[in-house]
Amino acid sequence: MKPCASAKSRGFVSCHVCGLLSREPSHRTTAGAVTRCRRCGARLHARKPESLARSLAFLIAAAVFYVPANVLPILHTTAVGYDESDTIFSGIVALWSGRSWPLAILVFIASILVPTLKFLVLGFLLWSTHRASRWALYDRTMLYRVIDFIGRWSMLDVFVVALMVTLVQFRGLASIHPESGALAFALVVILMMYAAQAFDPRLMWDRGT
Amino acid sequence: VSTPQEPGAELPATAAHRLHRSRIPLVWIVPAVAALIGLWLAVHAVLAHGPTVTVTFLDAEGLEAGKTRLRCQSVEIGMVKAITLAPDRRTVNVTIATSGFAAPFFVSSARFWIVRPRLAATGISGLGTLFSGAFVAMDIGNSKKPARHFTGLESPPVVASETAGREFLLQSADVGSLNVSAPAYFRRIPVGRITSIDLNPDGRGVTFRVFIDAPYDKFVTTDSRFWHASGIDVELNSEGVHLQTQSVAAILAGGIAFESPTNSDTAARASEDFRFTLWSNRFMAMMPPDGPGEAYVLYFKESLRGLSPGAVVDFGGIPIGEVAALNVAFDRRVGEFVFPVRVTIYPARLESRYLPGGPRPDAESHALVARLIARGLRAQLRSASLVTGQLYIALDFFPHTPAVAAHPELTPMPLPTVPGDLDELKRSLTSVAEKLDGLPLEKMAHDADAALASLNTALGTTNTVLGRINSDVVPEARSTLVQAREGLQGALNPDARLQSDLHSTLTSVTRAADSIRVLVDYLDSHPEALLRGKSKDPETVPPR
Repeated sequence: MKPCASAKSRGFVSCHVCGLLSREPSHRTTAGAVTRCRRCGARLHARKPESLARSLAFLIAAAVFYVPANVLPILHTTAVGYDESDTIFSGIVALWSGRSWPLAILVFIASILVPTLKFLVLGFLLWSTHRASRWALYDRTMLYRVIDFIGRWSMLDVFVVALMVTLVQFRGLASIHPESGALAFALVVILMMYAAQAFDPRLMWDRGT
Repeated sequence: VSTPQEPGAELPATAAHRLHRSRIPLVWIVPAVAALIGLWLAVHAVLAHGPTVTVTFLDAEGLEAGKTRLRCQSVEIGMVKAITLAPDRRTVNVTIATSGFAAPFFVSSARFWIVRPRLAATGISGLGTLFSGAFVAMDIGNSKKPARHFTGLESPPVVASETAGREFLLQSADVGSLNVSAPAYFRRIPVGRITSIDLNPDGRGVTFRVFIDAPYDKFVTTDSRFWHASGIDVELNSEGVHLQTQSVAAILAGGIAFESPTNSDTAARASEDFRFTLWSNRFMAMMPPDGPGEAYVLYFKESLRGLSPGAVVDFGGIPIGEVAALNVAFDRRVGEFVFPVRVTIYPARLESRYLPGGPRPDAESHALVARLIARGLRAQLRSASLVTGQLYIALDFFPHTPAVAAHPELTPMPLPTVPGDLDELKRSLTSVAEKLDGLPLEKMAHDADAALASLNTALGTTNTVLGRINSDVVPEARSTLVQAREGLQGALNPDARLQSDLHSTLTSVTRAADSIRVLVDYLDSHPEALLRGKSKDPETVPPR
């Protein structure tokens, strides 16, 4: 990959709020201090501060919640002669055995495949960036864009639960209640989004070039 | 804008502010909190899970892994996780994951059974499982010893282990129409249930276990009597038809009843597992104890049809014994058939026969019976009911019968018999038939025939007379009637003389009647005219 000049390498920093381009003082003089925009006073940073550490922290938190999100039931269904709790996976199995294959595949992708892939990909990006790897920088950037975009679709499950809980409340006949798994799953998705946001893909290029 | 020497030289420099930053970024609080929550969830999950127990059933009908619940007094404490066939290929192992709080309940006395809809004569149970599906129910019991493997019951236990009450044993010849969970009644109040029915180890008789709920169990005393209260107890014997029932449920499902004799207030409360006899009906149960029976044999020469074992031996209206066996024997000395009837007589029913101090030895009572035979004691077959043809045996005194020798040395001692009243009835009927036989029926029939012939002749004569009347008298009468009609027609003619005479006569009578009316009116207003004569005053004459 041909090395490119960046604003940072030339000592410039642009304001994220008002867009004013400023000169960045040398690292020696600004150690332990924050810089602010002259025009709007917003905090300036050439790269997201402590990007890797923050992203890793969110990723670890998401990983912690990943276990209960998949093990604990997310929905409790009560109907006449039917009283059951479903985890994400048992819901997919139920859909699949109920011959609703497209729906089963959709839920599987949104609820299991995407969070898992995002988790793995983000972990890989963090690890490779930390190692200052120069391998496949362009593809890694593409990967980052994909997971950043697709990650929000994992909220599908959370929305489905929220909708079902509000819609299916026929007292005595049928009712659906959320269970702790749904909360854990929502936390996984949200923390994962924070982790992706905290990650600064420019760091790959900074160190890789 | 001039071209800068250095790109961005004209751009403002950033403003720097001192800031104290900790060495560990604040963001690490997030995974720390997540870890704490995760740890709490894990601990919660571990604590929420109790032991996994295995229950063995014969059949897992209605059970479903992952859906069927385990309930103890309707509180959910577990979930069936797996249903597998046991290695012995005859039973089913049901693995149940239980809740954490239920761990102390799985003790060796716990009983498990599957609740399904059940329809019995005494009621319907488990109706809720029609919709929710079967569930496994458990009853904890009193043991403290933990256990993890159990054998399930095939039907719900009749009595929950925490029910207060006591269990008693009943001995009976057969089960009758009873079954497990059949109710027990005390003064027609259902107070308990039959919990088990077991054949005795020797195969003779059946032992029931009956559970009587508190506080009714205190009414079971050592002299209480239990009897079958099953169905409609129709008993047809020489005393007529007995019909006894308890409740409708008992009619359908069977049941037992108990009662204490009214004169036994002092009897002690029966201890648990006290053994009672289960009588076939209330009459049998409440009868005072008979004491030992004495066997006697009666030789009858008449048919025993209508007599059956168990028929009453009656003395002066009191049943003092019963028929034990019927037989037929050939008496070689006399060369004819006799019908020996073995009877059992309970001397305890004849209070006066015994002195206080227990029963007498056989020899002594035999001597007494021999004396009674000398005074004319005889047995006789009597008809209890002409409709059903039932017979019973009556002991009575027949002083005018020929004396017979008593045999007190024999056991069983024979009692002499006299022909029964039915036999005598038959005999008199036979003599009537014989007399009928002696009548000269043929001659009577012949005479009747002759009489009928002469009657026939007489009828022929009558016929001739009637014919003559028809030909001679009838035309004569007819002409007479015609003449009479002509005469009448002449008299009724308006121009006839009779008519005009009648008219003038009626006119004169009308006038006379008018005059009499005037006179009466006058006399009414002038009654003195009867004495003084008619007044001259023309005013007093009423207007005409």
